Amino acid sequence: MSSRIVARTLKFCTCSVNTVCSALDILQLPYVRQEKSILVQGMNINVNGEKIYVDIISGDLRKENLFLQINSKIAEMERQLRIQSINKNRQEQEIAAQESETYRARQLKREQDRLDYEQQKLQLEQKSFIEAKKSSIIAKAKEKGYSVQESVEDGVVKLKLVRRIY
Amino acid sequence: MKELTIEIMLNENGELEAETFGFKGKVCESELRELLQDEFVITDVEKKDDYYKSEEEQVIVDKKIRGKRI
Repeated sequence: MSSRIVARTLKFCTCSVNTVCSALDILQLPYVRQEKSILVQGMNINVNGEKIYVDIISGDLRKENLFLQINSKIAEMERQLRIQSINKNRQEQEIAAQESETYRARQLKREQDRLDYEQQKLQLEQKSFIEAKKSSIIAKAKEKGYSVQESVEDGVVKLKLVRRIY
Repeated sequence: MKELTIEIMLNENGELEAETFGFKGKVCESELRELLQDEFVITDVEKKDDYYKSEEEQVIVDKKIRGKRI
């Protein structure tokens, strides 16, 4: 009398024990987590480093179906995690681009403010300079007996000096 | 009665243009120089025809002078 047993090793599509446990939680399958395995409904899920697998004797449909049920859920979770990761990266890139644009706009604003300030300063200095020249001319003209009429037209100061000789 | 007039235009860049009216002979130039040379460098003098007419002719001599800031 002889017997022949064919065992199959079925590997889960994840290398994270936590993902397997989460899948079992979602599927509401009670399990016991041990040091190098997870026991669920009489099936031993082996954990060997990054390899997570089950050894199933051929023909054990209940365990094969259980494996497929858990692995399908894990695959779905992994897909969702990938999508979340892609979305997160995209959001982070958008935020980084926005922050970069904001920084650039602030820099431009600062530069513009500085230029405006310099321009205003220059205009004030120019105005003060012209005012001093004008005052000097008026003072000398009055010393020489001229009457002075002053007007401004399109930014040009006009002085009309008049002296009457009898 | 005689009226002597000097018109001065001072722009935003500090450049000046001056013109005299009613002066006779070269006195107009000396008058402008007295008024302006301490504050401006005179770069261009444009003499009108009347500048060259004598005082005896009783012609009103005009003179135009331009300057820029020192």
